[in-house]
Amino acid sequence: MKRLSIPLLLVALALAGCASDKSVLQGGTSLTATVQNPVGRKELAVVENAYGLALVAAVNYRRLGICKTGTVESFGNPCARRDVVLQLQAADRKARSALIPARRFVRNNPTLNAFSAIAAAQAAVADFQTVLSTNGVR
Amino acid sequence: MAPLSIIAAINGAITLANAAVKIGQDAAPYVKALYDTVSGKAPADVTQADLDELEARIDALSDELQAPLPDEI
Repeated sequence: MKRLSIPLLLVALALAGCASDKSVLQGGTSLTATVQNPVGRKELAVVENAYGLALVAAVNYRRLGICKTGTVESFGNPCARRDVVLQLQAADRKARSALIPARRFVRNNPTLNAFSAIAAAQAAVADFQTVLSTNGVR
Repeated sequence: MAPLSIIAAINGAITLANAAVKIGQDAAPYVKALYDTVSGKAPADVTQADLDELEARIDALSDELQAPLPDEI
C-alpha cells in the first residue's frame, strides 16, 4: 500500500503543477514551472528603497547647515556636525560602490540569480543605517 | 530657571520643529516616489525602467550628500 501511495502522490503533485504556470517557489502550485530569477529586480529595488530612505535622512541632516566651529547642535541651534556629515558621506560612498555592481549585474543578467551582489549591497546599506542611528540622524 | 530662559528654550524648540517640518516636506516627495515605484508590485512586474527611476532619484540624493563641505567658520 505504501509503495503505491508515493508514486500516486508524485503523479498528483505533477498534475497539480500542470494546472498552474507559477512555481511553488514563487507562491504558485507548479512543480515544473521555470523559476524566474529568485533574487533580482524586486529585491534590488527593496535594497535601493532602504538606501534611498537612509539618504533622505542624511540629506535632511546635512541641509540643516554645518555647525560653526566651536558650536554643537541644540534645540536653539539646529545644525549638522561636520564629523557626522563626513561619516555619512563615507558610509554613502561605501553603499553606493556596493550597489553599482548589483545594479550592473541585474541589468545585464535579468534571468540570473543576483543574490551575492544584492547581499553585498544590502550589507553596505545596513552599515549606512547604523551610522545614521549611531549619530541620532533620522 | 528664569522665565526668560524658559521662553528662549521654547522658542528654540519651535524653531527646530519648524525646520523639521520644512525638511520633512522637502523630503516627502522623494520618499513617496521611492515607495510608489515598487511597493505593491509583484517581483515579475518590477521593470528595469522602475529601477532606473529609483536609481536616478537615489543618485541625486547621494550627489547632494557628497557635495564638498564648506570651509570651517
